[in-house]
Amino acid sequence: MGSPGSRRAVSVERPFRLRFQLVARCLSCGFARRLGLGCLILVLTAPAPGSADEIVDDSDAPVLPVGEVTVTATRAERDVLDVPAHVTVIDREQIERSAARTVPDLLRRQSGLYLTSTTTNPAGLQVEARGFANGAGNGSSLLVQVNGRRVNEADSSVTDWALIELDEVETIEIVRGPASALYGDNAIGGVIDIRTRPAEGPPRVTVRSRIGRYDSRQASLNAAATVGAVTGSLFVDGVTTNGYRHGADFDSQNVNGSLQTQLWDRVFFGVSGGYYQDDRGFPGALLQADLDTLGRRAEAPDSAGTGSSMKNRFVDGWLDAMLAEDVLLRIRPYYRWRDDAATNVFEFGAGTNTDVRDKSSLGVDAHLQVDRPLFGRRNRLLAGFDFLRDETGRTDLFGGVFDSVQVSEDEKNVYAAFLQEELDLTDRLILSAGVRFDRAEYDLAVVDTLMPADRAVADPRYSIWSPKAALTWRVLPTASAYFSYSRGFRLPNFDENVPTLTGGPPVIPDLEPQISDSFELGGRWRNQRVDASLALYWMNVHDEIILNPLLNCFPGFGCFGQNDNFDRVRHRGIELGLSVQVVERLIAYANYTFEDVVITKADEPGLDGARMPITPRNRGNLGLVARLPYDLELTTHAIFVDERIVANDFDRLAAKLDPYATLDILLAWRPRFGEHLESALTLALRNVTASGYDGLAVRSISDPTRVGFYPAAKRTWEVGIMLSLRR
Amino acid sequence: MKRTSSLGLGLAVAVGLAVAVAPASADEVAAVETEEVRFVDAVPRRPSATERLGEIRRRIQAALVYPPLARRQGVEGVTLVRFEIGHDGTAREVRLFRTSGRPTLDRAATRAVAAAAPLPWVYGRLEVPVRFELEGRRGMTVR
Repeated sequence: MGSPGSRRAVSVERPFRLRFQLVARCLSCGFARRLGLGCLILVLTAPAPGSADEIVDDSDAPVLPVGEVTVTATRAERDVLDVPAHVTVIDREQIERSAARTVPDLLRRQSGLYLTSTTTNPAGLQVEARGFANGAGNGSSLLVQVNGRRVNEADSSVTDWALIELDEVETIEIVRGPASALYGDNAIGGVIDIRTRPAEGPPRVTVRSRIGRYDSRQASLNAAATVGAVTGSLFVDGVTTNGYRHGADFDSQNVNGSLQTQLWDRVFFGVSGGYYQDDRGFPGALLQADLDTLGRRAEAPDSAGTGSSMKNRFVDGWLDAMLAEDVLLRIRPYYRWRDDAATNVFEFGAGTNTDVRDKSSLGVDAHLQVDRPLFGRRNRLLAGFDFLRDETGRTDLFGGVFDSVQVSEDEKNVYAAFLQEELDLTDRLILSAGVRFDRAEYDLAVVDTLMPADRAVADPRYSIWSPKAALTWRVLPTASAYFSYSRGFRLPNFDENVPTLTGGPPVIPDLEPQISDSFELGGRWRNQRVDASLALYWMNVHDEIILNPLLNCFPGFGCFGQNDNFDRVRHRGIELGLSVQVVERLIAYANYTFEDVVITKADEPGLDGARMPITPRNRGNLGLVARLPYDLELTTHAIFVDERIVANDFDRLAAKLDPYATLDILLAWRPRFGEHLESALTLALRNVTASGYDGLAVRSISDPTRVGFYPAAKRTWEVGIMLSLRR
Repeated sequence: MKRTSSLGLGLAVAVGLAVAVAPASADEVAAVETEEVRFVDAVPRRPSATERLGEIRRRIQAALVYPPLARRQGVEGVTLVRFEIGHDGTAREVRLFRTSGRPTLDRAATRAVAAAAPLPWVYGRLEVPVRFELEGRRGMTVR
């Protein structure tokens, strides 16, 4: 029997007309002109909706509908009710309806996380969890991953959030508390796992543009399509702003792309790569006298000209192979390298510094995941190894009290193996246990004109075991409770092990890794309308790494400070989260965090019992999302932060920073034009009440009477437009 | 609506014969309507066209497997497949009409249609949307 109806050639006119329309639209958005080439390449190479690439059957003949056939399967992802930790998953829909502009802005609304900011531009943001926001310039105790790639910097271990554009993010998974049994270094306060928008699915193109106060402009383009067996995505983005403060200029360009394919339905592999560059200004800290005379938007007079230029690139690969129906092999190699050229004018007149550095991270994560019942019960085994090599080359030229040149070449290799088991003991009781071993080997070399020629930095070697054990009780199908013990650790980073000179003779610290033992009790209730969570934790941190302002003191010169291990620091807290769909069109949510971080044992007299700086005891937020008639949506979001101790102020000589509250409002109009075109017009008002709070304040080490403030932006507005075309 | 003259003639003859030979009851002459065309099945015996279409759907359903790797990766989607049925009950001219955006789901859908034989014969080109759906709310990635 022949095919009924005649076949015809697929018209190419419509797809090409559509492509040229997209090119014109892309180029017409003002800021995107500089990205025009990227837009052009993207749109002309990506198949337009309705192109012949997707439609194999081009018959014009009438067809008889059989009716839809559906196959359902259970998700392989872990139900959040089964996870013995305080976790949150933020999806794209929540991102869209938030008034957040950056990833840290979104994270600061979550319980257990705290944001400090120093620049009023997308650089200079640091997010920490569970009370680890305690240092001024110390490394990070929060591991951040993007598509499984560690993005904590090789030299300082902090995350440069400017590199992660919110428009590119699909989901953010937050795990609070130590997770080094699975993730290793830096996963001591928590883990942020970010997934970018997937290439899979129907072909789509999304274009966004925003303009806002302080000459802020941004444009991004996100597209994905499948051509034959290959799926690809492209993200192009540019941001420019004058910040809020003078000297906070910021200008960035970003291009990321990925290609992936699948073989025999059992092997999935792909590569992605990206290039990012920016110029960023650091307006510095203002003294109270500066605030009184120059105002809070001023650039710090004694650090004018501080800023940097940087270039960052990455290449990722991934391979998932189903070795058997219940055995998955997953391999994730990645490499990223970055060049920075910074001019630092030290605050409080301590001197100047030109810092040129190149750094790279090479990592491989390989593990097996076995989902095979044990004793007839659900069971999941995870076993694998990690390798990470961080390298940094720095040349620092110092001028000021002591002129010097410091050149360093640092390398760190970390080898790790881990094993984790999750077993259903009964229908309602889940046992999770795991252990990881990390071996870290440093190779540090520093040459300094102020140091004796034969003086070398010792190459540390660390071996760390990180165990974990937890029980989860599924009280109800919609509720669970858990109790867990877990260990986390953070290795000293290059910046801490080879301290930058602060005008005095160099002191090479002999740092130990920071290790925590944490006990946690929590629960969660989650159904279609309510998502409520509670976590209580008690964490004993051994050798917490911090810049100790009471060390490295010289008669007549005062103290210069030195990175140090505090013997024991106790972190404890309560985290509450609640989201309720009050009625069909109204969602209310609230979060609250209590954190108490106290030094319980330290070598220096007077520090025992002292509260750690920066982290506030109380903070929380409250929000409403209302879907209004005519496709309108209104989001209001209020944040409250309690008083904070100034950084470095262990002996409490300075006044605390005042509590503050902010209110953000987002009004969005989201009309749909048919099945394939979505759009949004947004107006975001941030800090509506013009609260004049500080993102951070730091007490000078050399002169304890001086406190530098980093004012945050007052009221800002932003107008945005989004168009999304999906086949 | 374009139709070839042979198709129109065939349908007309079939309907005419059915009416002339045996007065058609509701079960014997089944009609399935699409947006633009009305198909008339004039085979004067059970099962009716509607019942045969249901059987085709059930057989495809039985042959359908969620690709394990796609399930692991949380991949969902809808694939639209078109095909014909030969007199031997096998699916012929199995073609992907609209991709889900994931080749693995597309392949699983076309493979299920091809493997669903034996299928009851139905005249013409058939279209089946195959939906791959994961149960439960989105969870956490394992690592």
